[in-house]
Amino acid sequence: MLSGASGVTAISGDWARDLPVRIAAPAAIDPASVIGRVQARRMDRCEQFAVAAAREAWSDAGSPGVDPFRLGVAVTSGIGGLRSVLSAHDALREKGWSRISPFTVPMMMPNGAAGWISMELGARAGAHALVSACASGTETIGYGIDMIRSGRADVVVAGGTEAVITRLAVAGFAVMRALSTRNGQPEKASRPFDKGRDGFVLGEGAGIVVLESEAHAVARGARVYAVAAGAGYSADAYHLSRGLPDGAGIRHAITSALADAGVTARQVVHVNAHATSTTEGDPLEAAGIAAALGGADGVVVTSTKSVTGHLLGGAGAVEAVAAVKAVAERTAPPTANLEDLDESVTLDIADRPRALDPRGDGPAAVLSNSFGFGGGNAATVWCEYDSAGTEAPRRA
Amino acid sequence: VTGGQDVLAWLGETIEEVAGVPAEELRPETAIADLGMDSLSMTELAVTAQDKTGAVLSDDDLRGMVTVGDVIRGILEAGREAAGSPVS
Repeated sequence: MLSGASGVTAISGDWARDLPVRIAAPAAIDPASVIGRVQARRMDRCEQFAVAAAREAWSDAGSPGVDPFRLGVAVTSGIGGLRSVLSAHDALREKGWSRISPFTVPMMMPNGAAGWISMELGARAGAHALVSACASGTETIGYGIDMIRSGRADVVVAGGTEAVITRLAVAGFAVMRALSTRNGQPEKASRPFDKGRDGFVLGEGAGIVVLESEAHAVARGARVYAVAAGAGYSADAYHLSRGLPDGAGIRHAITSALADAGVTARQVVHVNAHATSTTEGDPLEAAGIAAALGGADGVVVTSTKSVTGHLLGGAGAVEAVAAVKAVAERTAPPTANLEDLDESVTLDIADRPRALDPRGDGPAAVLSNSFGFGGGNAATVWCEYDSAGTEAPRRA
Repeated sequence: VTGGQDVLAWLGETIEEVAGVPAEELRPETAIADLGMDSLSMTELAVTAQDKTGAVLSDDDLRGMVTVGDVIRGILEAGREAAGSPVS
């Protein structure tokens, strides 16, 4: 991510040949090979990504020992197991109802990943999945933070996943004119905030963080990357797929997140923007960020979708991981393909990795924004951890 | 069991696919539960059996199968019923 190397490539399958969009950002690994063949065939690809990411995150967290009824899961998908729906429907039409996989239903439900991870870890405090299109990952991490704050759990495995690089999903977004058609230059196609942007690029994968109460983390001597300081939400109540014109919904989500986190706008040093590279969306977010942060001077803004593409329900989760790493390493990743900044954008968009220095009183804070079809806006706040402080949940 | 070898061949492949246990490790007395196969795995197996032999296995048939030998016998019996020949 720091290198700014794009993961966007031409779609190799024949299925995209007649579509106006023939590019995507597929995952670099086949999750089934990580999961194991027998278990993988019971899971949709989005569930495979989530379980693979959860294993990595859990191991990185030191595989904490937790009472099963104090360990929760909050992992979602914006769409669910679309590939499984499509292949089951093919089998249904070609061979009849009795020949579809008995795993069809568990593979299509958006909370399937949460269920698999809860089984894998023996997490019995709850397995939740909030669905709000492209805000799903961020909202679900926010829910995970609340699980710890409200005392329902000591540790929560939280995040989001998506795997819908299919003819149906590409056609569906293409017919809305939401996708980039820069088929001749895949690596240049996702270019948030750049004047030449013409839509987003569909990506896939999962992001998972391990949230933990401070008391629990301190007691076991856990390595803390960042404080999961808070989350905020709003709904545009305006249009199913377009944002409120003045960015007021985005502003409210950010302002609420900062209030929830007890963080001032001056503490914010970096924003991992939702910015998907659409012509309409990016300037709206820029306006919302500037309004919420009072001008945002000295705030480094990045859209990591420039390299990952848009993971829909997985986006906010992968970007939360990027935000946490930005806090831990005091470095903002770059926005790739920023060659000619849209002049309506008044923010400091990073076109190369940037060092992050605290600029106000209190620990440095990083925002991660997500907005979804349906009008939902969500933001999470991640802060530097001061071991002498008294902040709430932790870690990733 | 007559026809048992034929069934064993594809059943072994199916179990290897569904449960990840190599076909050569299967014995008639091997318990289904020990293969890590649950009720959903058994329905997959039933679908394959119907494809291969026309045998229709009911929920009761599946529930009654404890070992690999039970599965083979069940499939053979149901296959004969499907073919219209009397079960002896």
